Amino acid sequence: MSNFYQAVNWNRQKRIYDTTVATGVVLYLALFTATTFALDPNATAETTLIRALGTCALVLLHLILCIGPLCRLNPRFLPLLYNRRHLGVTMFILALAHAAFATIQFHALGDVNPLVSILIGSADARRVSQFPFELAGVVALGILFLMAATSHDFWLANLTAPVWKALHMLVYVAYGLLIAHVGFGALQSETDPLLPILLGFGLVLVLGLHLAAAFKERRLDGERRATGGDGFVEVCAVNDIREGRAKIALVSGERIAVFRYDGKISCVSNVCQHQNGPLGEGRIVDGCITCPWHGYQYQPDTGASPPPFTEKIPTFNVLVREGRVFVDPKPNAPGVRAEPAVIAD
Amino acid sequence: MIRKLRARHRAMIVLLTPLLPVILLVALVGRSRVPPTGLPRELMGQADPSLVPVGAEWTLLQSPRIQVRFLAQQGDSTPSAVVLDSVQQPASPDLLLYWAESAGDSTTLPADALLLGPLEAGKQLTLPAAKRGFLILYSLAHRERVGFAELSLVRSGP
Repeated sequence: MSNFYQAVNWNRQKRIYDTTVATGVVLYLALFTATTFALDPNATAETTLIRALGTCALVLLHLILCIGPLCRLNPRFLPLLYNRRHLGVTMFILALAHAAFATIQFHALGDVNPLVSILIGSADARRVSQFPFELAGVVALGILFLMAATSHDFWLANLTAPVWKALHMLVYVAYGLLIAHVGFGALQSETDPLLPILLGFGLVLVLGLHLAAAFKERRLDGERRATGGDGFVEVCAVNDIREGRAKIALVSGERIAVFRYDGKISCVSNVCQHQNGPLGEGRIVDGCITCPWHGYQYQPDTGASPPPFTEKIPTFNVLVREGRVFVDPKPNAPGVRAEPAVIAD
Repeated sequence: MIRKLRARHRAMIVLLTPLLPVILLVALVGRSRVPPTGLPRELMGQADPSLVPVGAEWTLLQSPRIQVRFLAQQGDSTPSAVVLDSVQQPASPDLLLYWAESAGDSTTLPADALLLGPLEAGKQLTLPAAKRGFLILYSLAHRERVGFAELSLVRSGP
């Protein structure tokens, strides 16, 4: 968390994360190259490099797509999400290198402009073996570029989190295009069953995890709540909330987080202003609600970040009656203090 | 607002779940079958040891200088293969030898042109059964005829 922009706000976790990613990428490329030459001594260095870069980018994309639902299903995976954007930029660089080497190898030696050659190289979409798989790769690379270029917090803050997230949801379009790129490209000449099996496994894993997480989320959004005569909505019993933690509930069509701390109850929007992370899955650290995704902090009674930070989220008026928590479904403006409800002994 | 995004996210996954496996299956089912033994024998460049030379060594082309020998079955005077004895380093890339009934023009191969194989010294290329025809040297990269020779009349230049 920072109150000014800088290229990368380095800290110990980010260094460990990036070192692990860089080591993993180098090891993968070395292992892929060594295995290829051991199994096929006639393999050329150029083709091996193109395949190593392409498969490495594809493996990283699968990992990136699995991190989100894994975190929804089990908070132990949250450390993977912390610096996921660096993983995404690494994946884009590998994909770009794959595309550049493939263009030089397969399209730069003729008398046609290489970029034109990519577009007209295989132009009969009616035949599977002639499907323009390279075009699918080019469009996917364009989407990945857009995402990598806007991955910095500067763009997140200026586009606003909902727009930024909608833009980055294009990763699913890119994933679909890359499945077509590999299926109608590399798999057309690949006789070894290992590659289709691995790709099928990755596809099932990504889709399966997303479906499991989606059904879990839908259950939470489907819960019905009773409204009292004063318009307050009953959320849960005080004892349902652990000290320093929150209960998430759906009120007025959006999620709220009801926190218990220091003998008090406060309620805020569940949506972090930074990247719309689920605040209710975080905890109170140093007296502040701390987002489990990137550590953004808010004071529980005002919804404002501690100075000098300026982020603000909506608060909700809250009451405790007979050991049960009631919340006014009408939110206060972001940063407006709501009196915490005191828990009677 | 975040709930709308979640709903859109969910809709996208529900759409992709049947679509992506179908794309992968179509790609796998529709792929061309690769011959299990690899290239046909003619393109593998496997020499037929039963063939014997007929006639003297011919200069197929002067520039680049290419000398060939014709081979035939024992007791048969009609050549069934040609051996590229000596091949001067050609100026044009991707040179291939074709057989056709006519010589075509300087940029287009005849419609009936039959690929015999790449231009490599020492390579034995199988000829079709036709009595007369032309050997055409063609640069695939430049899309131009580098030279041609009638079976009984050797010439150079397009």
